[in-house]
Amino acid sequence: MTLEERVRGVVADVLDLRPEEITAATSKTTTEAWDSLAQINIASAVEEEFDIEFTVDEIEVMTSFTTVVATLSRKLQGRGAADEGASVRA
Amino acid sequence: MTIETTSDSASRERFLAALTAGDLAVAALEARSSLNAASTRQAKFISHALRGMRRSKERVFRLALLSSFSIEFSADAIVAHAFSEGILVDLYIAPFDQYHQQIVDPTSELYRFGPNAVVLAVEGDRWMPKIYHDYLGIAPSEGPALVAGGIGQIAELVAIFRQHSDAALLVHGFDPPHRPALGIIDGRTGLGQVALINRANEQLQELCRTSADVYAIDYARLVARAGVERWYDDRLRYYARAPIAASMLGELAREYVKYLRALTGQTKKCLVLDLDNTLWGGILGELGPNGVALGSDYPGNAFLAFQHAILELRRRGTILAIASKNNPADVEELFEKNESMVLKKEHFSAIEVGWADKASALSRIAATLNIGLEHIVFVDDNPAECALVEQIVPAVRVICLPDQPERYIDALLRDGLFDGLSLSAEDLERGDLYARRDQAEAARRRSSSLEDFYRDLAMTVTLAPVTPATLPRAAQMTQKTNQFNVTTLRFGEAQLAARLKDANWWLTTIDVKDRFGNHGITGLLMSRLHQDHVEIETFLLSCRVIGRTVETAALARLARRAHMLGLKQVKGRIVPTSKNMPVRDLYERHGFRRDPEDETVWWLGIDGAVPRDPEWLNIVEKEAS
Repeated sequence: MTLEERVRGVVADVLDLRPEEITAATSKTTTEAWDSLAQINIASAVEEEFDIEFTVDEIEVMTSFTTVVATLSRKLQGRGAADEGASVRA
Repeated sequence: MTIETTSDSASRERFLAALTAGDLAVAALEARSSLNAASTRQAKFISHALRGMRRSKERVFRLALLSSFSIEFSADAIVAHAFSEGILVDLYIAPFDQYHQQIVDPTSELYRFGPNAVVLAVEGDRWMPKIYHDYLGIAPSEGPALVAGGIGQIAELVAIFRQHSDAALLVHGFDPPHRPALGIIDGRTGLGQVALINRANEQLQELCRTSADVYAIDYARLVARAGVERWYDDRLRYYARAPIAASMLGELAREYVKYLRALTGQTKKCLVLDLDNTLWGGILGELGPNGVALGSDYPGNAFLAFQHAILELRRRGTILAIASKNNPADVEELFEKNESMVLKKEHFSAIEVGWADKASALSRIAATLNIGLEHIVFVDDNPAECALVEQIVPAVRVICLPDQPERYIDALLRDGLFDGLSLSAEDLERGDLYARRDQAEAARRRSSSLEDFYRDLAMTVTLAPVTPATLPRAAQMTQKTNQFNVTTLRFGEAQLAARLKDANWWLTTIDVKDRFGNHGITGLLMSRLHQDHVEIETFLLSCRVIGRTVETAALARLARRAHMLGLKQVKGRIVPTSKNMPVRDLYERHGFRRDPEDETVWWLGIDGAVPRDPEWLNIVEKEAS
């Protein structure tokens, strides 16, 4: 399963939609269920799914499916780099 | 990368199918097995699925949440976890920080919602802000008054709430400050910050103890169990007024569900235990009575600790039983010879040891103890046995033990399955009462004849008029007794109180003692005087004292009393139900004749001889005082 598919499943569960209903166009402005509460719920559910923690600034920009995926990808890349750095130091 | 939290689509489909078919018990079982406390995503899925479901009003539990923070983040977790225990919840969530207005205003949405229970989830710094945030700004002597002031506000709200609602009220306690202002010397110079909040928690407990249907949720312990750093999420505390971490909302929900279970009468009554690798380590049949792991070293000490936890459950009223595949003689020998056993044979009210399947063993235990399968918890280390029981008797709650014995206690106690809302004197003795009956059963098997058995029991039967003090017990017995009950008529206390004032009604309680102990009031006879006869309307005995000729004594004394008043006959009626087989032949056995016109009615002539007392009973008749 690709990263995008996993995020799609998570977002679908939070918004109570089917995964195929979640597209690049799905956002706070196009989807009624995506309110402020849902935004935080999406952030929490993605954190749980990928075992990471966003900052408030990151959560604030997660207002669409595309930005969720982008923010998450950046975060995971950062973590990968940090992990490598740690292993080099060790 | 963790993918454990990714949902299991097969399980989801089984859940949805059961829900669509209206099979809520199976859907709840699926929900329970797919839902761990930390899975917010699965909780949302379940909660959403339930939203679309048609539900009948009477089956729904109405829960209102009042909070000083954004408690709506916990809504899906509460709905999902409650459903996994078979409870359908309708939630009302008051707008953030509106708890005071909602309680004070008699026309508020809270009261219009008509809740069965209300949670008041307000953080400690709302009631006592200075103690939390300005501790070094207050004089040391002010602390206790600030605590009293905070509790006073709650007491006032509780009193107002009670004027407008009879719902149960669950009040969050207070979590002490995590970083006291004085650091490591908090409490060194007088009452510390933490000590003050502990005092506030004690006073809240006191308030709840003395208020009907108000309960203090031990919030500090809930937080402590998870750990402060896992429980809270300070990002969301400040960004979204949501101080509790998303991954902990399931734990919060589970704590609420403990109360919901008790409030809906679903507290479990009986714990049925496997033996090998459950109460001790290893296989008894291979290792022998002193070879199994039970003692001071690992893993024996973990099993020992588990037994201690089980004994504590028994002491508060949980009935214990055994369902084990073993040779009965081996188990007997272990109980006799293994001195490390904390649980003794007499602690178990029913013992099913043999090679039959466990589902039928559980059904026999339910029948022996006369309790419903839905009140039984079955504990086993073997996943196959657990799966079999879940499939054949889904009403039984199954706890499949984890691999490591050190985790058994948590698995058993985590969900608070045996938690009720109060503890009565009867609860504290219940385990003993059932065990005594078991001892009496064993004595019966040993006695060469029934009469020897009766003599051996040394029974005293006390017949006494119902008094205001015994009336609640009398009413309770009419509501609960199904087997030895001639007409199965149910009465409330108010109905019986009216009869107390009517001289034509004879209301008699029956109290039974034997050499194993006092069974208490275990029978009721209600009869009414007519011109020339007395008519038995209600006659019931608790299953604990069936088969001991107590009924013969009660009928004999009734007949004698009627005879002395010059009455000619005793009339009785049997209304058959699916459960009252034990009384079908009651009147026939005691010389009554069937009414030629109505086959449910029986007559006993008392013109001449009246029935005799069983000679092995010591019968005491008390007069009305």
